[in-house]
Amino acid sequence: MSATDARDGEPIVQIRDLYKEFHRDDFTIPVLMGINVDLRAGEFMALMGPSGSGKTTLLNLIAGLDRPTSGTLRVIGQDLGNTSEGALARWRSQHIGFIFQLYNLIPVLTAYENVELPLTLTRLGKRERREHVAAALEVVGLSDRGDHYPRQLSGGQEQRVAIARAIATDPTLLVADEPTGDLDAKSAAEILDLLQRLNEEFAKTIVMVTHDPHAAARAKRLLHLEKGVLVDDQPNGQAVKGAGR
Amino acid sequence: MIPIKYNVRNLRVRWMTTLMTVLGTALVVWASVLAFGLTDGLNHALDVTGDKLDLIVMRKGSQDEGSSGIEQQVARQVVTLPGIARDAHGQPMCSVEFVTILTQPRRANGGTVNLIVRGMEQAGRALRPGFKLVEGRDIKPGVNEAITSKQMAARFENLDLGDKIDINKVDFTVVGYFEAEGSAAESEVWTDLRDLTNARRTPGAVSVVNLRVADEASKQAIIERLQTDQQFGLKAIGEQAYYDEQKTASIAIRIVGYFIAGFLTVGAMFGAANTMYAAVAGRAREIGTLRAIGFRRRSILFSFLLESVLLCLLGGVLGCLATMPLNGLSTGTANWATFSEITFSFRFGPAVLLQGLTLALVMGLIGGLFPALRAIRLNTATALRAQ
Amino acid sequence: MKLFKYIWRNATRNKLRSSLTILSVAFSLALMTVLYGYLAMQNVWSNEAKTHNRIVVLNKQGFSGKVPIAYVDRVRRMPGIKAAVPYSWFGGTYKDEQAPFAQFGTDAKEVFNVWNEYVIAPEQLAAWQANRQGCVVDSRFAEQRGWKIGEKIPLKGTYYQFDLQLEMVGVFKAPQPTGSLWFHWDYLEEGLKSKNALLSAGNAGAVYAKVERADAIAGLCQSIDDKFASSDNPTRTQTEAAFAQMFTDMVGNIQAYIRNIGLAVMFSLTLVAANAMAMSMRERTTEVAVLKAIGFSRGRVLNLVLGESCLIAAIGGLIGLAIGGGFLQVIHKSAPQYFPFSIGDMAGGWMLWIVGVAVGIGLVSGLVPAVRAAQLSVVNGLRRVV
Repeated sequence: MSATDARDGEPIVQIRDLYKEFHRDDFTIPVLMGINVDLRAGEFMALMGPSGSGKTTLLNLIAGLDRPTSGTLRVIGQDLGNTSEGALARWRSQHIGFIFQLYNLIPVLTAYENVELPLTLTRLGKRERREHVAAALEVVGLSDRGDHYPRQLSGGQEQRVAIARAIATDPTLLVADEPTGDLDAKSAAEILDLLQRLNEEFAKTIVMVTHDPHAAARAKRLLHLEKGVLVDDQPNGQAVKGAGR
Repeated sequence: MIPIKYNVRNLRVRWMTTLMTVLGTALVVWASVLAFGLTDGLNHALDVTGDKLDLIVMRKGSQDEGSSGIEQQVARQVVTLPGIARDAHGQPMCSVEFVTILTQPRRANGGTVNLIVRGMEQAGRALRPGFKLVEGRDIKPGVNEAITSKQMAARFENLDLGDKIDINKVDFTVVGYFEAEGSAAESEVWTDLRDLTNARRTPGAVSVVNLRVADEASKQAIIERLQTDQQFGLKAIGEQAYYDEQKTASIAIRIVGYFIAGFLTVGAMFGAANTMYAAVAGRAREIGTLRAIGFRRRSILFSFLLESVLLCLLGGVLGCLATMPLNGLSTGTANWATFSEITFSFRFGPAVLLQGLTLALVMGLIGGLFPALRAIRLNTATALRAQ
Repeated sequence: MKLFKYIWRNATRNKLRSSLTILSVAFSLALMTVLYGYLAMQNVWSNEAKTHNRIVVLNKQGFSGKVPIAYVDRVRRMPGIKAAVPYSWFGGTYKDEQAPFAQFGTDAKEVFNVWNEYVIAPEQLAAWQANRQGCVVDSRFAEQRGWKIGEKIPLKGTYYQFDLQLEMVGVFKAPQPTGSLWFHWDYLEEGLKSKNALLSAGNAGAVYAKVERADAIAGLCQSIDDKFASSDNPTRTQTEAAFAQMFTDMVGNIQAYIRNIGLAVMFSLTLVAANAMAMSMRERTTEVAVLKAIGFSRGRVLNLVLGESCLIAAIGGLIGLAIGGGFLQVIHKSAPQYFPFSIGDMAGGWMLWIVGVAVGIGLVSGLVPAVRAAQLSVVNGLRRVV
C-alpha cells in the first residue's frame, strides 16, 4: 500500500483564503475566515482548538463533505469548490478514508462486511475484495474478528475495524474526527499507534481533529484554530513515538 | 389517570406518522363502509317499507312472481274475497298483475341483462310504498305505454322518456318516471295488464294478485282460505316475507363485504401496531419518568391504548366522511331470485357508519394492546436512561 | 447485488416492525388475490367455454320467452351443425329443499354429442335412453349428495305446474363440476300436456348446438337468427361463452367495486409501509450519513432504501398470494359448482401482477424515505452523533 496520487513536493491539500459561513434563519454565522494551509503528502496533521473554533468544519471541507463559501480548496488534484455532489461522492470513495469518534460501523454488518462496504463501490471482483479486506484487517490486527458484529467488539476494536474500513480502498488521505474521543487511555494509545504506523509505514497523509493533547502529540504538525482563524501552525518537533510500547 | 391532552400532544408532535396512520386507517374504513353501504342499500331495496297488510297471491309452489301463473277466472275470484281493504272510492285495493322478463342492454356496454316488466291495474299503484310520478305522466291503458324509475332510465339504454321498448314486436313508449321510496318497485317497468298480455300473446294470463287486507284478522282468514281451498290452489304471502326471502340474494354480497372488511381490518391493525410500537420505543424515557413520578402501570397501559384508539378513530371518522359523496349513488346487480336487475342506492346510515367506526375501534384496541403492554413492561430504571 | 446482504440485514434489523409491515401487506394482498382470483376464474371459465364450439339459441326476449320445440330440428338440419338439443330449465325443488339446483330437460340421444367432452358409460347411457323417467347426474354432484344408481329423485315443480319423479340411472363425468341433472325433455312435455298446461308446453327453453368448425360460428348464429326473425318467436343466438358472459354481466358493477376496493387497499398499504420505512430511516440517519461520507452516491443510497422497502413488500406479497391462493383452493373444494377451477388451473399473469403490485407498493412507499436519505446532508447527519 502506498499513496500514489500525489507527486513528491506538490501539496495534497491546498487551501487559499477559505471562508465558510452557515445560515440559520436570517443570521449568517461565519465559521472559517480566510484560512490558508498547504498539506504535503505524508504529513500527519492535528487540528486543534476549542469547541466552535471551526476545526470539524475545516476537516469536513478537506474531506469533501461540505463546500466552501469562498476561496480555493484543492485536494488531491480536485477543485472541491466546483465539483458536483455525485462527483464528490466518487472522489471520496477513491481518495478519502474516514475515521469517526463513535466509529459509526454498520451494526447489522460483520467486521468483515463493514470493511468490505467501501470496496463494493469499486470495480473489484469478489476475490479481490476479499484480499483487500484481509489485508486491511491484518494491518489493524483483527484478522481473527472478521465474523464479529460491532456489538461483539470492544470500543477499541470497533475503532480499529473502522480504520480498516477507512484504508480498505487504499486512499491517499485519512481524515479522523476525534478518533480517541470515546476510548479509554489504553485503547486510545493503540489507535494512535496505529495511525502513526499508517502514516509512517504506509505513507498515508492524515488530518486529525482532536482535543486530546496525547493524540496531538503524535502528529508531525499542529494547527490551532480559534474563532475561525488559524492562530498557530507549527511542526511538532518532539512528536512522540509510540512504537516503543 | 394521565390526561388525554398528553396523547393528543404526542399525536401532534409526531404529526407525519400520525397522518400516515390516520390516512391508512381511513382508507381501510372507507373501503369497508363502502361494502357495508352496498349491502345495506340492496337490503333496503328489498325491504318493503309499505304496509304490513299487503299480500302477494301466487300459485302454490312458486318461488317468485315470474314463475307464478294464475288462471284468469281464479284471479277474478280472489278479488271478490271478503276482507280486502277499500280505497277512498270504495274500490277494493287489489291489483291483478302479469310479470315478465325482458333482456335489455345496459348503458355503457354493461352487457345485456334481464329486467322485470309488470302489467298491472291502476289500483296496484296505491299498493306500492309512496308511489308518485316525478316526471312525465302516468300511462293510458290500451295504447301501449310504460313508466319506470329514473334509476332504471339511468342504467338502461332505451328507457328515456319517449323511447320505445320492443316486447314481441309491440312498441311500448316510456311516458313517465315514478318513485317508490327506493323499494324494489323502482327496479321495474310498469305498463297496462292487458296491453302487456296481448303483446306477449298470452291474453288473460295472470302471474299474481297483489292486495291489501283490511286488518290482521282478515289477513289470516285470506291466507287460510287460499291455502286450503282446492278451488284456488294458491298461496298468499306477506309482501315483506316475499322480499325478505329474496334477501338471500344479498347474503352473498354481505359475506363478501364482511370478508373484505375483515381482511382489511387485520391488515390495518398491523399498521397501527407498528405506529404504536414506534411511539412506545420513542417515549421510553417519558414512560420511565411517568412511572417514577408514581403513575401506575394501569394508567400507562390505558393511556397508550387510548392514544391508539384515538389514532384509529380519527382515521375511522375520516373514512366514514369520505363515503358521504357516494351516499345515494345508484347502482345495480342481479337479483338471483328473479334473475333480473335490481337497482339500488348506496346507503351510509348510522348503523353502517357505526360498523365502520367499530372496525376502527377494534383496530385501535388490538393494534395498540401489544405496544401498550410493552410500555408497561419497561423497567423504570432502564427506561429513564434511554435516549 | 453486492448490496443485497446489507439490504437483507436492514430489512431484518427491526424484526417486529418488518414483520408487522409484512403481515399488513400479506393480509391485504391475500384479499386482493381472492378478489382478482375470482375475476381470473371468470376469465378461465369463458375461455374454457370458447374451446367447445357450442352455441345457444334463446328467445330474443330472454329466458321468459318461448323457443318452440320445432326449432331444435330446424337448427339441427342446418349445414355446419353437428348436433342440437333442447335444454329446458326445470328449477324444481328436491324434497324439502328451498333452493332449486340445476335440472334440464334435454334429448338423451343427442346430448352427449353436443357436450362431447363429457363422459358416460355406454350401458348407463343406454339405460337412460330406455327409461322415460330416467336421469343422469354430474358424477361429482351425485357423489356430493350421496346418490347411487337407482336413486329416486322427486322434483317439485316451481315454474311448471308439474312434478317430476326421476330415477338416477347414470352419472357423467365433466371436466369441471357442473352440478347438473339431465332428464328427458319428452317426459316434462307429456306431463305438461296431461295437466293441460298448454301455454307452457312445446317449449324447448333453449337450443344448445355443437358447431363443426369454429370459423363457422359467427355465420351460423346470424343465419339462425335470420331464419326465425319473422316468426312469432324471434331468437338470439350466441356462443356459449357469450351466454356465460350474460350471467357475469348481471352481477353488474360489482367488478368495478372490486377494482376500486383493490385500489383503496393499495393506497392504504402504501401508507402503512411508507410509515414503517420512514420510521426505520429516521433511526438510521447517522448511518446514512456515514455511507454517504464513505462515497455512496445518491443513487446508491436510494437503491439501498428502495431495495429494502421492495423486499419487505415483496415478501408480504408472496405470503399474501399464498394465503389468498389457499383460500381460493378452499372455496374450490367446498363449492365446486360455483368455483369449478383449482388454483392450478387459474395460475397466470394475474398472480405476477399481484406480486408486481406488492413491489410497486414497496417502491412507492420507499420513495419518500429514500429520497430524504439520498438528499441528507452528510455534515448534518454526522453532527447528530459527534
